[in-house]
Amino acid sequence: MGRDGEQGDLIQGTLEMLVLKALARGPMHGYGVAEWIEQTSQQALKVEEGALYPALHRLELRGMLKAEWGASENNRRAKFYRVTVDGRKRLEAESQRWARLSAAVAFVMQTS
Amino acid sequence: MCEGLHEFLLRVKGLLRRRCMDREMAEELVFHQEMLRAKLSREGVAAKDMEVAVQWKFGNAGRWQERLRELWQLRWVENFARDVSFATRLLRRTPGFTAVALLTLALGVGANTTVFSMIDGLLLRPLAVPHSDRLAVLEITGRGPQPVYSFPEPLFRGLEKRHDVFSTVFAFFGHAQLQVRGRDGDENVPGQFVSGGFFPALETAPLLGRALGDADDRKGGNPAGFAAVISEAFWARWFNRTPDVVGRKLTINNVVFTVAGVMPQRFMGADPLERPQIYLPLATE
Repeated sequence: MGRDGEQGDLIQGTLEMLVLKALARGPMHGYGVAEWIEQTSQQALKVEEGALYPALHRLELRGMLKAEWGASENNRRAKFYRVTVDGRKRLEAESQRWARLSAAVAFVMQTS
Repeated sequence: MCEGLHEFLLRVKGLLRRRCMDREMAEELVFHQEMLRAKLSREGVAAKDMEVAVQWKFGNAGRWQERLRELWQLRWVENFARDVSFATRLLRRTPGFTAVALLTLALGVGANTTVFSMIDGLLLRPLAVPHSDRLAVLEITGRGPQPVYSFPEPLFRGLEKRHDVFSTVFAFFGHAQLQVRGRDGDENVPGQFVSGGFFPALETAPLLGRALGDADDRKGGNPAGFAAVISEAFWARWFNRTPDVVGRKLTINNVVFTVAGVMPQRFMGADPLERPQIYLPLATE
């Protein structure tokens, strides 16, 4: 995903978790998802479009997201994604896994 | 499982409305690009640098749509369809090869089917007699690696008289070529020698007359002479299905036998690999 050596690249599973997290707040289009992740991470995470849309479509295929066409804030036709019940369950499981993993990594890195 | 089904259905839907999907994907990307341009201009990027910036951030839009499409497609269905059309075109171009290949396949499938139905009928299906699951074949072991199914007659006679395990013990001796005297000399007819317990154990009623019993399986035959039982096919061929066949004489291997009965077509004895036409008492061998 993305150009080699770029900072803030996200591995696939993590990106999917962030996408689900972004959409858990309410339906949004792909651009909104990318913006929200970048802003919330204070520009630390850059979501590449070339990775975002495959992730959105993959989640839609697996029934984690449901897509509907609607009007955007500037009144343009846009594809809005909404988290399904399966998606919420997946987000719950993923965030627990992530908490365990990041705590473990932090613990390892802190040992002197 | 359910998740897989959901995904499969979505993919099938994508396959059916492919053009619509392509348009939607393109529209989604265009929307994203527009939002990006709006943001860049808010940030004060000059119009002439805009396209470069968008292009740089986005990369090749065509490649992306390809990626999305790959994600959605039922790859095996599409690959299969493509392979089939390619194969058809190739085959049409070389009719000679196609004909040979088709013929080979047809013959191969035909031969296999024939052999399998033969094996199925002969070896896999149980004998066409009542209670065939309660029949067993005895063998003599301990004389080398091959089991021996052929019993010396005295040993068999001993078993026939004394057995605790089976309700009946019977013997048959097959692959016998019997010389039956006809109008134009002798004719070889496949037959079997069977012991007195053979027909009672196989429990198949004769079409005409009676089957052979213990009384026939003696040296010198029953008090009235030697008796024989014939198959329906032999009855039809030799006696032209005459109803008064019982009591007719047959000279077999220079001995006169009296026809005691006719066995129906479906009866084929205890060995499905044989089609005996005449059954003679074992003791007359």
